[in-house]
Amino acid sequence: MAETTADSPSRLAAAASSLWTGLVVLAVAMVLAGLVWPAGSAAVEVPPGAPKRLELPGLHTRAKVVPIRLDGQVLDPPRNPREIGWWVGSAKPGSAQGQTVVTGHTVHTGGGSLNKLDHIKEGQEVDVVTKDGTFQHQVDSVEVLSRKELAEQAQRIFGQDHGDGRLVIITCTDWNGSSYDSNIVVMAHRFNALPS
Amino acid sequence: MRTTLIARGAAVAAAAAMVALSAAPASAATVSQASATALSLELAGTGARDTGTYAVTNDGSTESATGTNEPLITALGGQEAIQAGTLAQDAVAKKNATSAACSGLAGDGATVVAVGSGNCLSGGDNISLDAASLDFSDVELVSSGLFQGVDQQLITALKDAGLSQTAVTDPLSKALGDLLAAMGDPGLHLDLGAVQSSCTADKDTASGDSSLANSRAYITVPTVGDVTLVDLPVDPAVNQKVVTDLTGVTDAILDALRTQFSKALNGALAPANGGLDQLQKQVLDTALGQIQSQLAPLEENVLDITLNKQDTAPGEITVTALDAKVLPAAEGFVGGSLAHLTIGTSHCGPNSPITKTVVNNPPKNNPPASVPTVVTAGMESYDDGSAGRIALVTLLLLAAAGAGAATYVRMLRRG
Repeated sequence: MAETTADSPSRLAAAASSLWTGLVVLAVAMVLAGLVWPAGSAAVEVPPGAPKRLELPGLHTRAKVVPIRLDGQVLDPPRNPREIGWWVGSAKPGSAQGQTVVTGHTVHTGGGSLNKLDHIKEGQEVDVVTKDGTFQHQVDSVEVLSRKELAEQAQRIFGQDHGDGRLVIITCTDWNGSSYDSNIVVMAHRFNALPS
Repeated sequence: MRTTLIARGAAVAAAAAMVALSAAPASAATVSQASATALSLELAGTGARDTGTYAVTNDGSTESATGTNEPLITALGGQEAIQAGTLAQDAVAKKNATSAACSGLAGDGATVVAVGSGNCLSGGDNISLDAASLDFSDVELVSSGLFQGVDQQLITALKDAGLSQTAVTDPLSKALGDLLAAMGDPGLHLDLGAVQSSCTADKDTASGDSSLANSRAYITVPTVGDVTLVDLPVDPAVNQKVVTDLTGVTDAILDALRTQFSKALNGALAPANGGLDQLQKQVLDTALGQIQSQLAPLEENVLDITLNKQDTAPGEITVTALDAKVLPAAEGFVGGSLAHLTIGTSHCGPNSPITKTVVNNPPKNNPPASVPTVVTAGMESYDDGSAGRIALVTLLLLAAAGAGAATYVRMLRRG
């Protein structure tokens, strides 16, 4: 009986010590596992957010995105032709409804952010980067519309009551020697979101 | 007093009726609609026949239908082009402003599936449809033209041999007649598996598609057998055109004629003892040229076939799986047969959700949100100021170099 009472404190101390050691080992193991285990992408959702950068890997194009507003019914890209404008009246990338509208300049002498857009093909990837991640899109259609056709189809292209969060990219084309006659309209659907 | 009470009562009843009517759904409005026609057949000179159209509409509460969704081949009476097969034409219109339709033709044994899941026919045998029988009886030799262009010396030599021109042209005409009689009336057929179209529509959009299982167009020439003209694609593109030229058939006819004409000319010119070889060659070429020019329409196209034909308007679509017409250029060769055939015509939309209006509480007038109508995303050139900065730096460097040089010169002078 006396032995039992004398051993109890030391046994408790030994148990606590072994528990502490086990916890330390477990913590180290979890840290190491977290470093080497592949990250699961499906479980993480990227919230909708304002676009920061547009990337068109197939065209080797990356451009900073800044918010722009309507001037009457005219959508004018940023003054810096290397930047791309996101119409703040359109959906944020990652939204379930509406459509995200971005536009950038084509510069006849070169240097516009979307100078190469006329080379984009259906099926190519377009990425929109926000502060929380990257939304990956795949091009569904590439249309060249005259100014008149664009105005006539404005609700389809820019309307926010449809679209399921698709991406719309617009620039100018058909240089006539003094100005541009048409717009290129690229529609792309979102197929993935990668957290940053 | 009594009159006043009656008048007040009538006014209250009228007001209540107006409110009730205005609060009810717009019962006359069509919320959704669709229709389907399995087959339509127009034969030359005998008018059009079809399976009728099954059409449905929904007013937001109930679906109404006209026509039959169980068409029978026997309904296509008075024609022999198609005698057996399984027809399908069905449509649904729902109160949620969606609609769907499906229609088509397959051989016996095909299974008809409910509309809404794309195709509505599966399996079954192939069915052979007589599209046209070709009539070559009008192909002829113009005897008076056979000696046009032939050297006068050769014609004189023909006379010297004791032969008239008819002694040459008559055997050729007979050879042509014998060959055409042996060919009979070749039949142009469509060998079809399940041929069908389907469509769906909601309040905003409509879409459709067509499919043709294991189908082809072929011609049966009594002296040759079956010759496949074209295999029809299983999943045709929208408004895909198919060419059914008979170049192979006309080439075979011309080859056979060359042989028969040569024999006929050898016989006709035998009394000249081989002295009219040049005449024989020239007449043979002229005769074959005449026939070839008459067969030319068949070498271009016989049937104008459009697969997966789609006509669209905002919110609606009409899809026809197969649309075939005998081309006007080939009509001279087509006797009493197909003029126009359509298989599987499905129509969906336009649909619009039900709207309720109440007189005392009119809906707010919400104009569509403002959207851009102009995008000015083009510039001729852009100056970001870098050129000016480079010029300034260059000037500063030049100034520094000048100052350094002046100092150096001054020091040399002092030294």
